[in-house]
Amino acid sequence: MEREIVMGGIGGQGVQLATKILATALNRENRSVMHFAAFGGTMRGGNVECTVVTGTEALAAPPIIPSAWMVISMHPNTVPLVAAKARPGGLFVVNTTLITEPTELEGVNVVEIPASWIAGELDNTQGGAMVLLGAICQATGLVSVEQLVEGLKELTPPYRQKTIPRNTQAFEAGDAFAREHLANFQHQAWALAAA
Amino acid sequence: MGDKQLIDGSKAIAHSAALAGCRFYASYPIQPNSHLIEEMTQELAKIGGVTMNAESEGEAINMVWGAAATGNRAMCSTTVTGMSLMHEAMSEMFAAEVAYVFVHMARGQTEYRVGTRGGGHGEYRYISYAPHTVQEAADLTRLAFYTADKFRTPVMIQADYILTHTVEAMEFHDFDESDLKEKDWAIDGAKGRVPRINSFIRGTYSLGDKSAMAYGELQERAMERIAYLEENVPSLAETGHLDDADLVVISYGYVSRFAKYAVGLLREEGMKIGFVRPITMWPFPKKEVLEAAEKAKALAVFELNNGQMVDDVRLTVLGRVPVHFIGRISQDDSGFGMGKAIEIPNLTAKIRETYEQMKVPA
Repeated sequence: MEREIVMGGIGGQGVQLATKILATALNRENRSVMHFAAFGGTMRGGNVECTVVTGTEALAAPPIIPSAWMVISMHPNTVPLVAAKARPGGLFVVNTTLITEPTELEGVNVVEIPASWIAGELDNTQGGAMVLLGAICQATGLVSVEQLVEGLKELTPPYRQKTIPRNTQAFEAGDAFAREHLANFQHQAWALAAA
Repeated sequence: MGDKQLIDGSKAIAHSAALAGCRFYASYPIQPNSHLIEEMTQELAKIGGVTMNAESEGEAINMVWGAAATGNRAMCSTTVTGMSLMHEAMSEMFAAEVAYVFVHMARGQTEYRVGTRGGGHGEYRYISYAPHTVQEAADLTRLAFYTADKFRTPVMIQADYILTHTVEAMEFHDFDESDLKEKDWAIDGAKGRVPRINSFIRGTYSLGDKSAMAYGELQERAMERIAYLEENVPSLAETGHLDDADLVVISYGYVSRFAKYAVGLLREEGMKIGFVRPITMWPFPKKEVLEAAEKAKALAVFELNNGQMVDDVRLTVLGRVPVHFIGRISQDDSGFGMGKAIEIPNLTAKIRETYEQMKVPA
């Protein structure tokens, strides 16, 4: 089985890094995995859309996919972009700190996470994507938060080592949020594979 | 910890080139080729090789010519317009029988013709590989260096923007090259001996150099070499569902990944559709395409150009079945060959339309 995750945000929110960490964590758990990033010429503030496809077998999906099991929006600018790829029965995860308009999509399960606010409480405003990823991975069992932290360590270059503790903290804060607010989450990533 | 590495297409090509013992690489920046320049700079530095960021495309390819003529493994790369600028030297390098690897980092697929037939002077063809995954990009790069040396001829790899920016779990495999012979043709500085490399510009017979091959002689030799290569270089293709397919979709390179996926979706709806994915664009995989033509009622070629591979498909099936062209030019705003045509809903609609029209009795 395959799971597709599309994450949209704007340049500077760490969407590329977060999805690369997700892909690395999945690879560490020996899942098949593919990552593709589409971004504009703007380094800060331009729309970013990253796709991760993972599965239990060799992947059939191409790098650009029509719809995804989980779409995530970190910023209001990318709500229409990722909503277009939401799938009935799938998940639409929104960063409610920045996306204040209510989100409704027929047949799609909306998951609200105040990711940027939680990150701000940790004095790590840039860590919103990490918080959200920690939360949704804990809730769905997509990949363990421990492997996300390992993926973070693997991808952080030598000159950015000092960011590892605060990004680890962001993953853990997301994990804690999910344990409190998204316990017994219905949409398990690998439920079908295990059955 | 996973067993596989998570890397992108450029890194896969660059690391594979280093594993193949590539000693020299020259290029000139242009996107998406620039990403490969970065990776090659890092990879060749690790093994003591040389990367040159040239002042122009012409300089880059001519430096690679020099390096390859000495028998060292060498690689050049560029994107689309850059290849037009390099074709004078590329034509000469075929005539000169210089073994090297050329990576075309395409934007879309408008260079199928140039990538198989060349765009310069004289008789020549490129052996041309079109990877569709990061794993295949790595594997075909090793094969390209081997094939270039084995047949003493240029080999091209057709990569692209999407492959460059796709990160996948993959692994580097060992490659057996033990049957390769020593390069007795390489230039090694011996003064006074008979020249080992011939080309149009080295000084032709008519200019008084009696050791050089005359133009006609060089062209005749090129023709013999082309025939030999077509006969002896293994053509490669992946096929699927040819047993029961009424319609077979033919597509190459990264685009074939979208086509294969679309075929899979339509088969789930019960449509009898198969696919052929040429891995070598030249020599063209005639056997697989003919097998498709024998069983299917029609073939449909999907490529992001005005129907360049269609020529090779039609020349292979010679009217046995109708060959429909279902591709188009497909560019996104940045011109990197993503565009609407490869979006799965558009692609499935196109294949479905062809399939349904075929089902209507004439």
